[in-house]
This record gives sequence, structure tokens and C-alpha cells, in this order.
Amino acid sequence: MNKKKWALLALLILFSVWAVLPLLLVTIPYTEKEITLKPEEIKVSIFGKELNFQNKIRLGLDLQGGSHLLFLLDTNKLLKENVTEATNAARDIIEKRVNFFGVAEPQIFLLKDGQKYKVSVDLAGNKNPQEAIKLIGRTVQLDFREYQTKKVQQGTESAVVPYFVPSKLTGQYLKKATLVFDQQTGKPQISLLFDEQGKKIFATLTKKNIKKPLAIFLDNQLLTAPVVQQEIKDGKAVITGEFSIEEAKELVNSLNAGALPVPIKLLEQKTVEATLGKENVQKSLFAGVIGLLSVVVFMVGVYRKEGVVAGISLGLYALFSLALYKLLGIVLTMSGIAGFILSVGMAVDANILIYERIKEEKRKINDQPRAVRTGFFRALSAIKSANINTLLICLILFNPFNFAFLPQFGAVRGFALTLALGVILGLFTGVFITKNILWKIYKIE
Amino acid sequence: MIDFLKYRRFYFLLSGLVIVVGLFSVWRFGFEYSIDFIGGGLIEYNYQKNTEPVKELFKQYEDLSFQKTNHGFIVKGTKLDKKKAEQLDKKIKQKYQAKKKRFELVGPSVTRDNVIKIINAALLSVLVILIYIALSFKSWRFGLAAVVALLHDTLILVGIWSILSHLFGVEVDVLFVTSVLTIMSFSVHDTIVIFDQIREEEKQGTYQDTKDIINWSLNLTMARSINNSLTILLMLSALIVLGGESIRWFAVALLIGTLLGTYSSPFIASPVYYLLVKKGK
Repeated sequence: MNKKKWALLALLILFSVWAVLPLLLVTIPYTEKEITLKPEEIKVSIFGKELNFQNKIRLGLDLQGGSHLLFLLDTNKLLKENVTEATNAARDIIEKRVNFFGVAEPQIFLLKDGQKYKVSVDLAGNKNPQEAIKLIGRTVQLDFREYQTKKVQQGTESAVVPYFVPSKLTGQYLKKATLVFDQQTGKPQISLLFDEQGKKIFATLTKKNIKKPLAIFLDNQLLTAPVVQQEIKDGKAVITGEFSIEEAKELVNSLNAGALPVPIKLLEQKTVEATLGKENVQKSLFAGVIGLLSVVVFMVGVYRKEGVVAGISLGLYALFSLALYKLLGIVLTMSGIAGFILSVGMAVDANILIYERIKEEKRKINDQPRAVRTGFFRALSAIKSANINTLLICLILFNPFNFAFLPQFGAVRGFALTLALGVILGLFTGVFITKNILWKIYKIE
Repeated sequence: MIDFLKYRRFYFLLSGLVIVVGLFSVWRFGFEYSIDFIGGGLIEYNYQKNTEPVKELFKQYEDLSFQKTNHGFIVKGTKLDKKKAEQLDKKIKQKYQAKKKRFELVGPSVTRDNVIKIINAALLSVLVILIYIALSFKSWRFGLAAVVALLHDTLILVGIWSILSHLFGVEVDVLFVTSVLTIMSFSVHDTIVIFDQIREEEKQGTYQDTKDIINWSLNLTMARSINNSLTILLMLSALIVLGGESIRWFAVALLIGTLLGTYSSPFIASPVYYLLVKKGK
């Protein structure tokens, strides 16, 4: 390896250290100026796509606390050709509803499982999942109904009974709902604005019903039935009713999110308190550090000089892993941490294979540099086969094409992802970097 | 040179015995499944005081199981649904002021599909391993021997888990499944290293007899096998002793698997390969 490559490696290490660093602000002495050496967020635009790098390791729900909800979408009553559209729409609506809940970075996925469609919702740090479930499952159906009367004959007496007939105008044509306040009473009201089509329907409807009441129904319940004074052409309406500000807000949110095109059912609910998550992170990290240190001590004890090289390559391995987790925005879960720890073991294996081979060659050949060289290359084929094999298994576990006949759980996937990254990085540090350090030490050209 | 192959009947007998005992336990006692697999509810509490009175309370709920943890207790049951869980939670909060840490509800419909998917993943992995090794070592005998060792490790791990399940109430959960799949790949990882050596010795031609080739390869790779599993054991022991409670059994499964994987490569995979070659001649 020439000087250029060493410089490149040094740059890579510096960059990784920088990536691992937390938010860093430095004040220049004697001036009041602060420079940001490490910002909270970096946005890079590549080919028109915006990439966002967050300066933090993203933790799964089991580590930071939060709720995982799994809903089943009931697509039984849908026509086959509408299923894809309806389930995607349902996902989007659920996302809108969740966004009103104000949780940072909610994760919402549509999962296809054979003929079943499911939506998983991950809410970080959310303390009250019950409210979220209520909000997500809520189906607000808005429709306008016309007033009609009919004569009912009962015995000798006849009476005129009023009733309402559903009109074409429903929440489907709603463009926007907003919370407003009555200027006289200060009571909360909901102002509705219809889209182009809705405007036309509303205009004909109001024209037809001048001087008659027009009822607004929410979830099949009569809310209010104001009398139409004139034809309304601008597509605006106001709902007045006896609701509190909170209720009005919720209604506005639900109306804006729209009704779910399919009924949903809660299948699964998991909540982890943040304290338990914190405990898990601290303990696992501590265990990881101790484990790593004891491995280094063991390697130095068994392989002496080469053991130190192994220590260096392991240190770099840990550094690069952390940097990658941050840069790729990998969500780290408990099983992910376990995958990382196991991959450390496999990364060490590459080192052990190389050093055992070198030891063996040293016994045969007196020329040390030549022994190191031969031993290194002899070890490579086993390392290659063994690691390709592990990567293949990772591929099956991660299930990147989302095959329905393979597991799709987050826990298995997180594990496969960190293990695969670990194997690849392990090859880089355990083989490539180890080689260059050994070559330097033994002055091999 | 130590003649490892000489005692192959002993290895087969020992492994066969352990597998039979394990499978007997699977047949007789089965497993404790986590609610991820059978559906139901689970609530975990933080509770520093004596849990005995709480345990007494739960004697009246026949379909709920009570489990003490280091910092409190866990209540779970397959019939624990949302309504029951909320009632129970209120009662426990009032009576003991225990703090809720974890709450899980899983509908029964999630479950059976998952088991099938896991079995699919395992079978697909075995197939991929068999083909990959047969191709890269240019002999189906290597592939078959590696898969026999892999099945050996998996069967023993599953059997031991059934015994642990019966004795300590250890659960089969998603993490255990992950560990089984990992052990499958680790087992082969370890076997490949030895097979690579055998292939090299076959090419070099220092020894003519298959028996000598394999024995010599095992002598050469033994130090590597032991040192490698020692480092993994160091990592996993740290995880078992110092890590969080929720991954402890996961680490135990990986630890057992690592030991099995290291054992099976020289003592199962290599003798099986020897027998396959001998039969072919």
C-alpha cells in the first residue's frame, strides 16, 4: 500500500470519528463566534433526491420506549382490482391521523402477508397508546341529508313525519375543514370547504332545498340541521354544534384525514416504557465494551505482536460500525445489538484464521516475511467461503424482497442487517487493514 | 498426529443420545411459547417489594401465569385480552403501586403464519447452504456432511430448549428463532474452515489415505476452532452476565449454539464426510 492509500485510510478514519461524534460546537477564543464542527442534521442533495443525515443513532422501540401497533385491514368486501389502491389509501390516512398525534418520526408500513394486508405503526416514546389506537381507528363519516316528510296513517289518525334522505354530498368531496369561532358567542365551529365537484353538488342541493332544513350527519348521527336561506355557490359551509374546543379539534383532524376506505382491526399492541429501554441500552453497551476488551486481551495473550494488530483492526471495526449505523440511519434494536456483538466474534475469526495460518507457515519456513505472506493468502479462501455463506443466510433472514413465505419481523431483520454489515466490515478491517499493517511490520513489498 | 476419526462411533453415539433425550423432551413436554406465537397478553411491572403476596393474588386467576423477574414481575396468559388486561392493571396499580414497564397484546391470527414462515426460512437456508458448499467445494459430499452437522446442532439446540422450557419456563420467542437461524449459519461457517483445509490437503497430496488427510486437517485447524469459539464465548458471556434481562436467554441460546457449532465441525461433519468418501470408493 502506497502513501496515497494510507492517507486515504487516515481520512476514512477521521471521517468516521467525526461521524460518530455527538453534536459539537466550538467557540473560537477571543471572539464570540461559534462554529459548528458537527451539525444536528446534514442535508445532501444527490441527483435531485434529498438525503438526510441525522446526527444520532436511531433506536428501536425496545430501546427508547414506545408503542408498536399492528392493524389488520379488512379487504373482504372490496373488489380485487380496488384492493391495492384502498390499502395504500388506508395507510396514508392512518399516517395523517398519527401525525396529528405529534410523535417524532412515526414509522408506518403497509405489510402484505399472503392475501392479508396489515399496517404497522411504530410510535416512539408515546406514553398513551390507547389514545393513538382510538384516533387511528376512528371513522368519521360526514354526509348531508335532505329533509322530507311523509304521511303516516295509523288507524284513523294521520300524521306528517319528517325524515332525512342521504344526498350525494359526503366527506369524500371535502377539501378542507378548519376550526373557527363564532364571532358572537365565541363557540367553536367547524368550517367546511368543498372541492370543485363538491361545490357543484352543494350548489344544486342548496338550490333545491331553499327554506328547508339541510341536515349534517356525522357518523350517522344528526349533528345540526340549519335552514337553507339561499343557494350557496362558493362551496363553504359551517357546522355549529355543542362541542368543546377539544372535540372540535379532533373532529377537524378526523375530517381532514378522511374516512378509512376499509375497516381496520387491532391485531397487536406492544408498549415498552422508556425506562426499560434505557436500562437495556446501557447494559448492552457496557456488556459490548467489556466483551470487546476481553477479546482484545485474549488475542494479545495468544498471538502477541499479531494480537496487537488484531486489537487495532477490532477497534477500527467498532468505529466504522458506529459510523455506518449513523450514516445509514439504521434503526438499532436489541436483537440488532446482539447481531453486532456476534459479528464481532465472526470478525475476530478472520484474524484468528490468518494468524493460525501464519504460525503454521512460520514453523515450516524460516523466512518470516515470506511465512506471513503465504499464511495470509492461505487463510483467504476459507475466510471467503465462510463469510459468503453467512451473508447468504443474512439475505434469507432479511428478506429484502418481502417474500410472504419468509419471516418479516423487525427483530429478525434488525439482526440480519447488523450481522451482514458486521461481516462486510469485518472483512474490510480483518482482512484488508490487517494485511496492510502486517505488510508494514514485516516489510513485505 | 491425533487420530480423531478413530473415535467416530463414540461421537455419533454421544450426539445421538443427546438428540434422543432432547426430542423426547420435545415430544413429552413441548415448549413454552411466547405470546408472539400463540397470542395473548403480557404485562411487566417494576416492583421492588416482596412479590409473594402478588403471587398469592394470581392463584385465583387460573389462566394467567405469574413470573418473578429481577426488578418486579410479569403476568401473562393466552386469554388475557385488552379488557381483562386493563381491569387487571387497575387492580395491581391500586393494590401494590407497581409500575408498568411493558405491555403487549397479540391477536391469535398473527401466530400460525409466523411458525410456517420460520420453517420456510430454515428449509431455504439448508438448501442454499447445501448448494453453495457443493458448488464452491466441487463435491456434494462436503455439502451433505455440512448439512448433517447443521441439523445435528439445530436438533440439539431445540431439544435443550425444550428441557430449559420445561425446567425454567424459558420461552420460544422471536429471538430464539433468530438464534436458531444464526446457529445454522455459524455451524456451517465453522465447518467450512475445516473443509477448506481438507480440500487443500487433498490437493497437496502429502497424505494418500482419506483418513490421514482428514486427521491431519483436524490437527491443523483445532487451535483455530478452539480460539475462535473462545472469543465468541467471551463476547456472549459478557452479554449474559452484564446485558439486559430481555436478551439474556437469547445470549444463552447463542452460547449453546456456538459450543455445538465448534464441536460438530470436527466431530460430526468431518467423520460424516469420511464415511461418504469411503462409501463412494
